[in-house]
Amino acid sequence: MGQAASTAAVANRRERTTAKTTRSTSLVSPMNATEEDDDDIRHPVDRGISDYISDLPDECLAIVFQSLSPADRNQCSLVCRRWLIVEGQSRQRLSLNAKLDLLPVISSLFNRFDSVTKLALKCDRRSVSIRDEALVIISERCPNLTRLKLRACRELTDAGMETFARNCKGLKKLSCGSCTFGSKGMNAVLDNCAALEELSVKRLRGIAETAVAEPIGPGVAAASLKTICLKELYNGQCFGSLILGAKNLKTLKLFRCSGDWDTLFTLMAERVTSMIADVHFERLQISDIGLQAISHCSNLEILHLVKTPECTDLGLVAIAERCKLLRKLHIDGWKANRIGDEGLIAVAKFCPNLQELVLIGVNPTKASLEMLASNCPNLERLALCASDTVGDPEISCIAAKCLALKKLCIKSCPVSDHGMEALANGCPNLVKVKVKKCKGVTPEGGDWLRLTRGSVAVNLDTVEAELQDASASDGGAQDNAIEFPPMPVCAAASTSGNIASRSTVRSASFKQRLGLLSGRKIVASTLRRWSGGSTSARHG
Amino acid sequence: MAEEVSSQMNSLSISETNPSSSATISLVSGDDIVFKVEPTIAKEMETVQSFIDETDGKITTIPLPNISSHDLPYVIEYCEKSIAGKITKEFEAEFVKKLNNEEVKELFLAANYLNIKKLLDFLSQVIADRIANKSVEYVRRYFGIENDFTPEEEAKLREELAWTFTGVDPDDEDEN
Repeated sequence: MGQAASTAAVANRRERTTAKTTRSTSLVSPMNATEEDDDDIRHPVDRGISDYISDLPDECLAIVFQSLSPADRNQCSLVCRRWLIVEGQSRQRLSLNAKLDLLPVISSLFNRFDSVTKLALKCDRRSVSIRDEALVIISERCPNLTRLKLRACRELTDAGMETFARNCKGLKKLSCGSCTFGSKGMNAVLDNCAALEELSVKRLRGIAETAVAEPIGPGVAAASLKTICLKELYNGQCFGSLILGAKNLKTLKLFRCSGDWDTLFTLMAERVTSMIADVHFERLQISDIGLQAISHCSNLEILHLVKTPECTDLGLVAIAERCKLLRKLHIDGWKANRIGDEGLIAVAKFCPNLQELVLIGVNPTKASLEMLASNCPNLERLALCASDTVGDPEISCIAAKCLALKKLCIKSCPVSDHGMEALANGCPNLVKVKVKKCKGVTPEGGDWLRLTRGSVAVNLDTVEAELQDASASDGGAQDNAIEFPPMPVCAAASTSGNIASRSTVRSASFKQRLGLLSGRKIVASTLRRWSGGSTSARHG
Repeated sequence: MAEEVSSQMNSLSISETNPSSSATISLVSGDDIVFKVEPTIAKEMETVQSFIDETDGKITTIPLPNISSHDLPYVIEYCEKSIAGKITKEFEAEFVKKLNNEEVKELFLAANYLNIKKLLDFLSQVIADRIANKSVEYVRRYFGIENDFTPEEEAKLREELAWTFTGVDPDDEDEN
C-alpha cells in the first residue's frame, strides 16, 4: 500500500513540476530514448518531440537567464515565444536609451519587461531626452520600481517627477545626474517615497535657476534615508533641511558643491544626534568650524577630506578627540600645508581603531608617523603621496613600528633605496608594496625588496618619473583606490580629472574585451549577431 | 488518558522511524535500475526527502520515473561530494567535462525534478556558460528549439532591444 502511495506521490510531483514533459515517455523504453536522442539534436521539431529546455519549468529557465549578461539575455529572448515571455518576466534590471524617440516603444517594451524593479534611463548630451509623458507611462507600468537612475534626461520637469513619485512610492534608490527638474520634483520624491534609502544628485540644474533656492526636504523620506550624495551643485545647501532631517543618515558625501557648508554643519551639530558614520568631502568650502561640528558625529568611522584647503590641524584635532571610532581617514591636503603633524598626532592619540590612512599632499614627519605606527595597532593600509617630508627615516620608522601593516603605497616622495631596505627588514605582515614616481628608488632597490621578501607583491615604477610627475598629486587618490579594493568610496572621493581617467580605464577594458571577442569569435553566426546588433543600434 | 496514548504513539513512531532512517534508500530509475544510497544522500534530494518525511520514513524505495540509470549516478556523485563538503571549482570542472550538451540538459532536468538546489544552480551556470556570447541561431540549435516568430515579429523585437543598453553599468554600484 505504501509503495503504491509512493509512486502516486512522486508521480504527482512530477506532473506538477514538469507539466509540459513529453520526454518522460521516452524514458519508458531506454533503447528508443537513446535512438531518439541522436535525432533529437538535429530535428527535434520535425520529429514532433518537444525540445528539452521547454520541459523545464519557467523558473528554471529564468535561473539560466539570471546567469547571463544583458546582451546574452537579449539574444535568448529572440529564441522563441516562450523564451521571450520568460526572459521578459524575469528581468528586473533594465537600462534604456532615454532619447525622445523612446516614447513610441515604451508600451511594448514594458509589456515585455513587466517585472522591472531597477531602471536606468540614460540620454546623452547631444540628444533630446524623453519628456514627462514617457516617465509617467513608465511609472504607471512599473509601480514596483525600487531603483531609478536618470542621466541627462533634460526634458523631464517637476511635473513629470511629481507623477512619477506618486506612482512609484516604493522607490529605494534615486540617482539623477545632469537633469534639469528642480526642487518641486525632488520634494515630490521625498514626500512620496517613504522607503527611500539612497539619494544621489549630480548637477541638478533646476534648483539653481531661481535666485533663492527653494528648500528641499525633509519629507517622509528623511526617516528612511541612509545615504545622501551631492555632486557639483551650485546651491546644494538647499538640501540642508533634508540633511538635517535625515535622522538615520549613515553616509554623507558632498563633492564639489559650491558655497559655504559650515553653517549647515553647525546647525546639524546643534540639532541632531547623528548616526553618521561615513563622511566624504571634496573641494568643499568647509573650515574648522564645519569640522568641529562634524566632530559631534561620535559614530564617525570614515572621513575623507579631499582638497578642502580651509581645514587645518585644529579641525582634525577636534575630529580625533571626539570621533574615537575612526577607522579610515583620507586627507588630500592639496599642498596647503594646513594639516600636518599636529592633527595626525591627535589621530594617533585618540583613534586606536585606525585601519586605513591615506595622506596626499600632506607633509607628516617622523613625529606623527611614529605615533600613528605605535598607537594604532590595526593600521593595515597606508598611502603616502606627494609628501615632501616622507623620506627614508620616515619609511624606516614605519617599517620598524607598523606591525599590522599589510599594504603600503608610496608615491612621489623623497624616498630612496635605503627606505626599501628598511621595508625589507620590517613590517612582518606586509603583503603589497607600491612605489610610484619616487625618483630615489632604483629598479635594483625594488628587485632587492622583491628578493628579500618573496611573499610581498612589489609594484615599482621608476620609469618616466619626471614626465608623469606633474599629475602626481591628482593621480594619487586614484592609485590608492586601485591599491585598496575594499573601499570604492575612495574612488568616488576623487577629483573630476580622476573620474575622467577612470572612464578611460573603463573604455580601455571594453576595447580589450572587444578585441578578445573578435579574436575568439570568427564564427559566422556570431558575426551575424554582432552586425545585427550594431545595425539595430544605429536605427536606435 | 488521551495524553498517555498520544505519547505512546509518539514513542512508537520514533522507535519505528529510527531504524528505517538509518537504513539505505533505494532509488529506482526510470529504466528500473535500483540505486541504493545512504539516507544523507536522499536528504540532498528534496523531492525524495519530502516523500520519505511524508511517509514517516516507512518507505525507502522510491521510484524516479523521470530519471534514467544513465543520469542518476551523476546526481548521486554530486550529492556525495556535496555532503562531504568537497564541491570545489576543480571538481565541478571535472564533473562537467564528462558531460556532453545533452547530458547537461538531462541532469538539469533531473536536478530540477529532484529539487537539488546546488546542482540546479551549478548546471544553470554551466548552461549559461555554454550559450554565452552565442547567436540566437546557435542557441536555437543548441536546445533544438523551433523559431516560432515570423520574420516581421523578430525584426520588431530586435528593434525594441536596440533601445536597451547591454553593457555593464559601471557606475551602478560604486559611483554616486
